[in-house]
Amino acid sequence: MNTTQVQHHAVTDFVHNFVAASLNRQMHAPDSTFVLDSLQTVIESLRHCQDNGIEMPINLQLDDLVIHFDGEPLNGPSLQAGSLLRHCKDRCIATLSFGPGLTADEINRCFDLILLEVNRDALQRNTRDLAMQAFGIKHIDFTLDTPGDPTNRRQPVDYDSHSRSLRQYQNLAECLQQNHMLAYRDLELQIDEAAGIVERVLNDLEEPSTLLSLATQDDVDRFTVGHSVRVALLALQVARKLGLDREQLVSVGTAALMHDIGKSKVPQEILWKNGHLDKEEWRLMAQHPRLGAQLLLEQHTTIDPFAIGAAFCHHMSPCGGYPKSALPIRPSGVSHLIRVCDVFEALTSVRPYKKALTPIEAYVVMFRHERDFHADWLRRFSHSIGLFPTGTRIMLDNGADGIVLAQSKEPSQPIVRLLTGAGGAALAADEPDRIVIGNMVEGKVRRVAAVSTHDRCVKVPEFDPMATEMTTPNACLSPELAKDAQRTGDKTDPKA
Amino acid sequence: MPNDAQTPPPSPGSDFREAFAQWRLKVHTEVKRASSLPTAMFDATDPMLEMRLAEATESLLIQLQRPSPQITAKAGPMGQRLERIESIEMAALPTRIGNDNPMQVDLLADLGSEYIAVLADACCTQDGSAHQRAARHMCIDFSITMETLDDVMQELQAMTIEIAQYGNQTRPHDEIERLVQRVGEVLHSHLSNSEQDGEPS
Repeated sequence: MNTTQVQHHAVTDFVHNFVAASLNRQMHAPDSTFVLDSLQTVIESLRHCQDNGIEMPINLQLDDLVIHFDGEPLNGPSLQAGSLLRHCKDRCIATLSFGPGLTADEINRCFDLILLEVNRDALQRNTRDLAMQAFGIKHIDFTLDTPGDPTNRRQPVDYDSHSRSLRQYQNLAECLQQNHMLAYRDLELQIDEAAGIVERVLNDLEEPSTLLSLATQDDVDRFTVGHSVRVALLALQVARKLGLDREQLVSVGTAALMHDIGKSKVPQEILWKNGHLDKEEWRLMAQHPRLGAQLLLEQHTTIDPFAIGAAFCHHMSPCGGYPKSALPIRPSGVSHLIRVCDVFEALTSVRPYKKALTPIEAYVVMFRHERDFHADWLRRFSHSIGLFPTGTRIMLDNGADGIVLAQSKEPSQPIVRLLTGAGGAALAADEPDRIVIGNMVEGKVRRVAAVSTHDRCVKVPEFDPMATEMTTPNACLSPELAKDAQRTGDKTDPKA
Repeated sequence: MPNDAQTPPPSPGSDFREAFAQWRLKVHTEVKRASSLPTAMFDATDPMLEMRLAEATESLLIQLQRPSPQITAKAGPMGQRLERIESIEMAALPTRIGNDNPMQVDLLADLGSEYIAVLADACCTQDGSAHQRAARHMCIDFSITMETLDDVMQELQAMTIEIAQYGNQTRPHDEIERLVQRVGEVLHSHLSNSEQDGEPS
């Protein structure tokens, strides 16, 4: 990576941490270990920015949906910044600047001003300076909305498909965050709200995968909530192609969204542990499916059996899995589907302890351990999502860059929008800007030569039509991979 | 001055009005204490003088407190694991997946049996309110009454034995029988209590 990319990652990381800290602050007491730890992480990532030569202070510009740095939208951190951005909008905050010397305590007090309802009017134009001094905020600066000023808050975005997708993603994440918090506090869950949001996603978006492509545009977010949102989108994408009616689709989406709700009952120090879990810690972690089902059963509102079954069975496989139920269980189709989506999402996401695999690599791992999944569901998933899922950045064998727009009938032959011509040159005016991989274009059949994530580019070999076996077929997931698939949470408090 | 070590900032969660009032009080006190001028002089010349003096001092302090940009380096993410994928495995993927449309799958398959087994698990493994809730769900969602209880238990037993034979879980028949019996007892107790309370099952 060049310097600019490193700097971009450092800022993205800082904003991720700031958003995560704001979420924790909204869910927990201001002096709780969670809040204090996440504030410390913000400070460390700010120092990291400084060390990478980023000019201080860091200025973030806000609009209704996205946080921007240096004119560029930071889509990754914005995915879960819905509530923070809404609070900033309510207070007419146009920009946030963070200078060196910032302390955790100062950020906590800044959150007092931004997030607490009681302080809603503190940042008005005539009291802003007083508020900054009274709250001892010296290294964070806010500028307020000033129409006509070039440094003003960014104009509200046009509600094109991209911003609609972002808003839907933020709504899903916020709703799930809220439910995890309610579960943690032993309060009644808002399952109907979750179902309502899933329904809106289905109504609003032709393909839920447009949301997934959004999540892959930048650093993939690193929260348990983000994981569950993406599992739900994957499950909806597959389920839509199975001809279910709207009500059933909403049930499947809600079940997938809530599948990890039991993690809100796993001790925090285990969910947050960065190193290996010991035997006892794994035992507690492995209880989350049963805890999740129990939580859903305890609700006063009627809960769909889809959700209860999926919460209990999403780690069960033909090889075994867990939890060990008292009576033998045959997982439903919904649970089989959510299991495949769950593992695929975990493999293709970045974690502090592992890099993200590209989708095609994730398929290799899953087919290596094919017996860990219901074979028909694994194949159905691969056909629906494709080897190059929508939104994947690719390079063709002639060096042209492109992005996958949609899937064709063949899972290895997506429809691609070309971003450049051959060798990275600009596209000629008469050149088609979209092609179907495997179809003849200007006398040649193009193939995908490489796929890239935010930090890796992986060469894709020519597919071998004669291939029969892979190197280690039919094995079950190694304990390490099984743990990856299970440990989906990190930075943000998954209980939040 | 306010916000320095001797005058800590407001505790987290403070109301801004209260914080403003405290800050003003502290600024006034500090400025008056540091000045040799009598209070009346401030008020007579400019009632906001104290405030502006305090602000000027505050901004000076902020500038002085800014540390040099060279702060100890913090290592970035490192040591992230990456699964090793052979190119031959990637080349074989389309064949592995199969280009033909895969077998039809049914999302709703085994939904009822999965649900009843999860409820039965709660009846066997939980205690107190959790298994009461599971029993209640079982009775309502599967329309179990005292009259149909035995039939339902037999169905449950047959179903779980079939699953165990299919290979999903290896439990001996007599153990399954014992567990189903336990579920039956929980349901029986729930139904009896419901009848006593006059609650519809």
